[in-house]
Amino acid sequence: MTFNQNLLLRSAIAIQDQLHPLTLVKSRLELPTATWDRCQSLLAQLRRAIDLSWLHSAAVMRHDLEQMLQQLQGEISIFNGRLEPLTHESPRASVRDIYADLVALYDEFTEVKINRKERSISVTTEPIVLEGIYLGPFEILLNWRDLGPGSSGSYRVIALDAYPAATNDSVTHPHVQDEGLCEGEGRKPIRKALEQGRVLDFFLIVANLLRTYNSGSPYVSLSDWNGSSCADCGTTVNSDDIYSCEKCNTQTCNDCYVSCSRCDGIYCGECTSRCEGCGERSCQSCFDVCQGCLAELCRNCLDENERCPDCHEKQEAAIQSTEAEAEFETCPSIQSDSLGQTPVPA
Amino acid sequence: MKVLVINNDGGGFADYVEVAPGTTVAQLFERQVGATKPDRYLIRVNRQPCPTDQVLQEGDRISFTPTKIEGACR
Repeated sequence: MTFNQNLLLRSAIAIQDQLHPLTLVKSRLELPTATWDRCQSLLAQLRRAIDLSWLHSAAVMRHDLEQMLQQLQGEISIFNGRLEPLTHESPRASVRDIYADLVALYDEFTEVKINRKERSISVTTEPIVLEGIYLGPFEILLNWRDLGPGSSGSYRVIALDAYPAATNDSVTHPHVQDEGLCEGEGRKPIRKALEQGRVLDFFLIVANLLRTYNSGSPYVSLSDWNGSSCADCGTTVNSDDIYSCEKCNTQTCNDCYVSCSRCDGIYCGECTSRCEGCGERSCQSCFDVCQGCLAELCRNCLDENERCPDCHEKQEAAIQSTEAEAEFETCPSIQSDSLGQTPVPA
Repeated sequence: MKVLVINNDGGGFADYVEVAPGTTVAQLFERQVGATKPDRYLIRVNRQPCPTDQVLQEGDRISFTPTKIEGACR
């Protein structure tokens, strides 16, 4: 493996300088004097309010002063935390260590790039294949401004031959979204490596993370990587949004599945029909034949005698008519009172 | 004698530790990592792959990096 010794040495010196605790904290080493001044001002106002016996104003001033003192305590605590890296005795990489790390990167990775102008180091992994799914090689790009105590740990994981999840283009690896790696159990060792300037360890940990699949917590699980296709519209969707037809097991998406209006079962479009009576879609099991006209309708549209609304009305009308006739026939004959027996005067 | 031990597992331990002369990589691994199998780790002495029976020297840098590190989604 060939590398530019001069470039590596100059980079190691620049990285080591970045690791110096003062580099990171000196710009933030300011006592909270503004808050202190505000406390003094509030105290002066409180004294004046007491002198003048302005009890209400004094109470307000006292309340404000208490709050400002709490803020001051918080700011002092933060300032104290910023001093901590100056006294922490954690081993920190020397120029020699960093140089050796940079050299070792060439043994561990197929490609290493160091850009002094951009202050970045990147390595390229071998093509990553997890559970038979090809995800391609990844470039791990670290800006060495992110090294040292209190580092933000921002680095990028770039898919060089991306094969993203079918349902989300920004997910190029089960644990990478928008070029950000969700570190999971690697978080602490990565922070530690960045803090101490252990460049080689940082890249080894991230690369091993990329080589590992945690099925318990992925952005997109590998079983869903290629998504599922809806048989009705052809759209590729996450398997959580796929419904299986209760009759034929066809897979349909959230937009295409049909819930039977009568039994609430889940079906594909082909296993349901639109009822001519009510216009709702129902499964075949919930259709029946009208005993009157033999039309197929959903059971919601058939009466208890399995007749459609039209036949139901006709039947009702027929029944009413029959009843009327029967009533007419069974009633006593209507005759004129004493017909033919008109009294005749004597 | 002192060696620098880096365990990139768990919390990411990295510090100088005292070891007896003649200590091997395998012995140090067992002491620092525990009963886990060494083949689940990238073991490097002074950044180079090494046999587990290699005897450590004063000032060596030994790192243990798990080959399987589980990421997450948030």
